[in-house]
Amino acid sequence: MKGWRAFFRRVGRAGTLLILLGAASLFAEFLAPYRYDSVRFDLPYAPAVWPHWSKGHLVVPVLRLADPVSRRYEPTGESVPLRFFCRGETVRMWGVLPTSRHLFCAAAPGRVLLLGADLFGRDLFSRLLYGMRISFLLSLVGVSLSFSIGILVGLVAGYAGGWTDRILMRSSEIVMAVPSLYLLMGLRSIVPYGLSGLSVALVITASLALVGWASLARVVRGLVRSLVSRDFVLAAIATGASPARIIFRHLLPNMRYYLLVAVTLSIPAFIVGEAGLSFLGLGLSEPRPSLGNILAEGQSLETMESAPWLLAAGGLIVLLVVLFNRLGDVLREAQEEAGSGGSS
Amino acid sequence: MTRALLLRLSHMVVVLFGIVLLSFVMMDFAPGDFLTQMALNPQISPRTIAALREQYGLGLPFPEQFGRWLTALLRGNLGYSFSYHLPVSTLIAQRIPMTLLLTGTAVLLSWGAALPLAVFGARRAGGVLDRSLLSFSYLSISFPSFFLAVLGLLLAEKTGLFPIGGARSSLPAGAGEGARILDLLRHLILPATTLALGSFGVLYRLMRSSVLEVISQPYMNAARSRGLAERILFWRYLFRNAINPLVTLFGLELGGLLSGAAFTEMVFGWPGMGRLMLHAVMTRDLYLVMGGLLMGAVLLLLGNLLADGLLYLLDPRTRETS
Repeated sequence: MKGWRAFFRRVGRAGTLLILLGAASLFAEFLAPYRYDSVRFDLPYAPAVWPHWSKGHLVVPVLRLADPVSRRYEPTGESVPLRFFCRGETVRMWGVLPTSRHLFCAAAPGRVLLLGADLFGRDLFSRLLYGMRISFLLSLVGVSLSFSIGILVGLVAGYAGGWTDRILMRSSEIVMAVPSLYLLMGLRSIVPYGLSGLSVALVITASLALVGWASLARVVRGLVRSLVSRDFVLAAIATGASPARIIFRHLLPNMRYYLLVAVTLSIPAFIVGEAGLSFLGLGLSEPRPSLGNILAEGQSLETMESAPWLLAAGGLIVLLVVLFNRLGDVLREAQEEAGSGGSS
Repeated sequence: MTRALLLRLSHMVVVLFGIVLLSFVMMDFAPGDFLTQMALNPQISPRTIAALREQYGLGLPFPEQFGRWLTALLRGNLGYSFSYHLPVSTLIAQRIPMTLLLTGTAVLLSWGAALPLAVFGARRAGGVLDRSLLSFSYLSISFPSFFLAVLGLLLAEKTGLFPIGGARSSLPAGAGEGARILDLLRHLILPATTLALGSFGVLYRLMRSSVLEVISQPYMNAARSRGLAERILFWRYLFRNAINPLVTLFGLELGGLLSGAAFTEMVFGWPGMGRLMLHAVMTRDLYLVMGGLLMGAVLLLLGNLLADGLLYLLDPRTRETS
């Protein structure tokens, strides 16, 4: 119990909120009232429909498309009850377990639309939850991939020195010298279009990792170079410790916190990278939601007029970026405090 | 000094060669080649395809192909765009002025706004202006450029003050040069502003912390106690020293002049490099993609080189170490 409290204090409000958002996207199947591809052609760009109290029950008003040209909606006067922990649309939890339990749902003619609907009457709230999951998933996997490469290259370069170092650093310079969006686009253009959702996600993650490892490798190399000349490492070398032991027992533990901060601060670039590619139509494509492709739908002048709520996808990207940046700052401050107070 | 410069240049050549190799490997990895798509076109005879294949050396082994491509590059030949039916270099040369106009304006705007504001803000650090500008910078850093651009479009749509999309509207036939320039500027305002807003945050925070650091230096106190005029104190001591860390950033901005506006161009329909690249990727116009990638990389390297040179001139400390 105490450990948890210390943990939440350590990650701050930003970290706590991120954990909540992450959990929400993890259980999207349960929290979202609808599937991301569940369409209602009679509700194009329907505005938000909130449940309200009526005679002691939460009810959802039923909307009717009054004027299809101006997309004007009016209440029909009917309403359906809002139910909790109810049986609704069947979805596969994490793509495997079939389940139809949802946190809340409304029976057929009605539709809970917490944030409105898109052109096909799909619930924006549900789609944002699933899209956020993609953001979390791809950025976390991408970061782990690029960090594995970056740490490996940085360690080898920093520890070996000499020609190995020179060759590895030149190759990281090459990657960094190419504008990252162009490199992403270039990588994307050599993979065939029209792949299934999963392979596209893999391709994007791999491209992001290929673009992102270089700067980290340089940082790790710098850290290793500065650590290698420190007394405790020299002592370890003098006692005949193997390189593996030095790297895992002496170098990595000393870089741990710095790496943690670097990981956190580099996640936003991955989130924005994925969203950007999907925004351009080079990433995840319909019907799969990504914060980027939802925003892309909202950017046309027509949708800005009739469904400005689609821009919420952009707001969610900004929120995630702010939170990860803030978390990185909090972790760095904690580390600096610990560093100045403890080790010396 | 010459030795350092030569070393620097040789590094650049190595990195450039690496980029060329990287882009070539990427093209080689792509399934099929551009002729596979042409071969599907019934209007082009198999003999033409075979001749083209011969001409571009597509059947050759990898090193030989790479050699051909490299020699062509050295002659300034970036290949041929099969979706525009024009040489890649011509296409890129056509788009560069528009992109430079957009990014150049944005750089002027953001630097022109951020530097003076940062000096004011840092002099009253913690004040209302400083704190609101700091929060604004935090937001500016967190907004992806494509979302900022979309919000810019929203503004244009709601207020009707700005033209939407493109770089030119159709003017009456008799419109003079002045009207045409005015029209271009009206189209420029919004994309340039959204771009500038996006880079304002980094600039403000960096300049602010740099000014704060210089203000607390002993030499500032010493200069003030010698009774130097505020103007000299500001320009020769404060500004001159505080600007050094920003020179590197300036190099990065120079390097990003071609590639930094890609998203903004796409959202606003600005006819620059970014849109050209997107179209190239969409149509799998590989030579065009790689040509754009190369140009972007060359400019980034040049920007870094220029920044190092500037820093060498501005900051004597960098001269001692090399």
